[in-house]
Amino acid sequence: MNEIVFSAENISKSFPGVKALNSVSVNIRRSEVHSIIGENGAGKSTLMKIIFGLYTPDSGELYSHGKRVTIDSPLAAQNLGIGIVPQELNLVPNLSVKENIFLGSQPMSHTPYIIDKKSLKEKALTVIARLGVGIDPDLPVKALSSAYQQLVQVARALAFGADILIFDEPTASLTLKETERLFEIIHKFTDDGGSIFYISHRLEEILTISDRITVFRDGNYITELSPKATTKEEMVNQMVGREIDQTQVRRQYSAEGKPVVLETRGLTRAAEFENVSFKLHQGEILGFSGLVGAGRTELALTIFGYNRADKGDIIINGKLLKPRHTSEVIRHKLAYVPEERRRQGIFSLLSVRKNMTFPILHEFCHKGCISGREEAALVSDFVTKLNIKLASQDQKIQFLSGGNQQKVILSRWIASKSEIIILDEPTRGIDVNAKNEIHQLMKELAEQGVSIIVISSDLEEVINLSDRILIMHEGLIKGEVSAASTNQEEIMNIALVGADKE
Amino acid sequence: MNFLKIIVKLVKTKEFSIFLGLVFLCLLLSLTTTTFLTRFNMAIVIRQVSFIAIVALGQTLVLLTGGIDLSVGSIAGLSSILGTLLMTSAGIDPFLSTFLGIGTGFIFGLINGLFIAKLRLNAFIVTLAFGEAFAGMILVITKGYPVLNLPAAFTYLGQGMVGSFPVPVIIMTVLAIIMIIILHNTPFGRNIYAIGGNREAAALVGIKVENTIMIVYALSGTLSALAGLLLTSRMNAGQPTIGSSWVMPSVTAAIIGGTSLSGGEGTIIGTIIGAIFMGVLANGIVLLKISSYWERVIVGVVVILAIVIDLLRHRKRPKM
Repeated sequence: MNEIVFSAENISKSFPGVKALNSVSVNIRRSEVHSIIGENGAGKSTLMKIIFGLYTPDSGELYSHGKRVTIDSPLAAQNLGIGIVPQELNLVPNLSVKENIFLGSQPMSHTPYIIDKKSLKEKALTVIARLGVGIDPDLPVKALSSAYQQLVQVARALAFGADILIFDEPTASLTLKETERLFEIIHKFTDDGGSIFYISHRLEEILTISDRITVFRDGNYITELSPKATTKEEMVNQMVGREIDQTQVRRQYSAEGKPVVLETRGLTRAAEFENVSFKLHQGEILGFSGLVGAGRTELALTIFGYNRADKGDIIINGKLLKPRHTSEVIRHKLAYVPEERRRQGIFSLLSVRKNMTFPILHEFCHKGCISGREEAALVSDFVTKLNIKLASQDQKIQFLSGGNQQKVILSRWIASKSEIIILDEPTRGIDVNAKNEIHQLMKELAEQGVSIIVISSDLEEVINLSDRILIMHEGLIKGEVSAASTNQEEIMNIALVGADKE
Repeated sequence: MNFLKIIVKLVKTKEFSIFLGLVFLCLLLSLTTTTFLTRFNMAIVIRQVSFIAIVALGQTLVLLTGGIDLSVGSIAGLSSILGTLLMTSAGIDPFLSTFLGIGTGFIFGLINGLFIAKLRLNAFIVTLAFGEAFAGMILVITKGYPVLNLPAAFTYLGQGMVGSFPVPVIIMTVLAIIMIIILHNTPFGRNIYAIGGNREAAALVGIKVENTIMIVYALSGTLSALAGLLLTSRMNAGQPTIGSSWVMPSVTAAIIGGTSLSGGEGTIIGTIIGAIFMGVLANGIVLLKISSYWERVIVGVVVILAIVIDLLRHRKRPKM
């Protein structure tokens, strides 16, 4: 076995309301590919960001070649030979390949402040040659395919002299052939003595490329697996765990005889989702499960009229709609509670009252003017009913907790008597109490005949809440299960293992 | 008890600090000059302020949506020229001509709005470019000569008095009150704040973002044209230069009055106080016999000071 070149010991990190990492330890040896797997929110990205100096840990130590180090910035990480190939492309599109590779560390000529262009190109060619691919260093990065752009990111890390590389979902946008190409580069890199932390949701790949696999769950180190001895099913079991919260009572619902309130037929939007067909019945809670990036949010935004579909039909209550604007869909009593509350949900500069009443302002209008008294009465009604904790209605919404903000947004759509509500990650970043209250509220709404779609990456939430679950992966509906008879393993298997079979 | 709460709340507002600044400036001028606190001087100041304030009302709406209108001056000038030509060369009734002149301002503003809302172009460059084109049109039409021999009935708008108040001041006051009602009591006003505060969230609650933005620019154009025609009437001549210096003060009045350049924050009261503050400042420079060459330097420095003070106030608040 080769020597350990880097290790992280007993690392803990908390964010407001979440313990992202709970005293985890990992290490990496020379010439090794070490994969880290886990569900969304398991803590793998947080750990990688700590190793790359983007976050500082609350406690724990980092060691490089056995020596204790502090990594408080990406620059410090680079000086220790650690490079990252981030999930999202992080290049300057208008600059050339060679300029992107050496961005921030350009070779300088003897004249001060002037870049040595000749040496820049030579050095770029050397790095590209190490990758074993033919990329013209003079081309602007925007002229390259996303696979080649990914390689430029690798080149950038190599140019810093990195001997430890972190790959965060590098193959998410690559084709099979491009992925093979990347693996060759990874092998070459490790043969030369480099080490790699590899993060991916594609289990097949993990089995192919890894020397070691570490499983994280809810911020905890779970186990280490050997790719020679393990299976995809075992990996999924370890990622998901077995305990399921049984405190919530499953509601009884049958779609039989209930009218279809929302239907899509072959709905497609390029690069987002393809050929999506499903039916939602009155009073039903339909779950959409899948990993981040499966195309669920994009699908919801298209149904809601925020984006336009390339192909396919949206049918609400038997009426074919070609929505050009959200207001048309809202008129048909459909509502969308967005995934990113701060960015898409709340008006942080406005009061709680104003935040709640946008879709129903016309109801308080007399001769064109809003009746403040009627508006305040309605808001105070919902504050009591939904147990929203606030100082006053005039308080700016940004000073409320996440759970209370979410309740204000929900009130918005309940007040406008929505018949179909799409909730996108309704309880993300919300404390347990508010989460239970919101779940309870959703069930009550469904009992009253409101039809609900829940998009959630939290498997437990989807299973406990839904009557029926659709599983999406990479823009496609991969399968459908009945919530009463499924479990987390089955859903993950349909999403991941099913996807790998292609 | 309740009354006390309202007072405390009032004191905490941005508008109150600029109001204090205005009071301080007025005190300073009444102590250092004998001419400031005279009825004659006050009438001059308030009348001068009224033209800019009307333009600033529209500018405030635009700033609230997160945009900016740099064409207000050119629209004021071009619409005034068109309006006066209608009543002189075309011989149309002066009141109808005034109305039509204001209407051209609406159309010019709508053109701005169309490019900004529908094509999602940057407001700064669109209004800067159209402003340049409109200013050019003034010279094409007038060749630099003023439109003279305006009908006597027309001059009432800018020169007339209602009781002891000049007509432009009355118009400004009425418009400000209407604007306050629009912003605070109508869905349209709410939508403006929503769009400036969070455009994506606004679209996701069903607000017609593009239409609202277009109307806002059209209103800005309309108010600019009105201010231009009022000043034309006051000067009794369709000067090609009318409005050409209004862009900076219209933005300044709003910013000094607490309107945020990034949108979603600001009030009409603030803008009116801001406009009066700038008017008094300019008046003070004259009364204190400071060389008028210094005026622009002082205005520039005051605006910088105002936004730095505002920045410091923001820093003190708890960060989210």
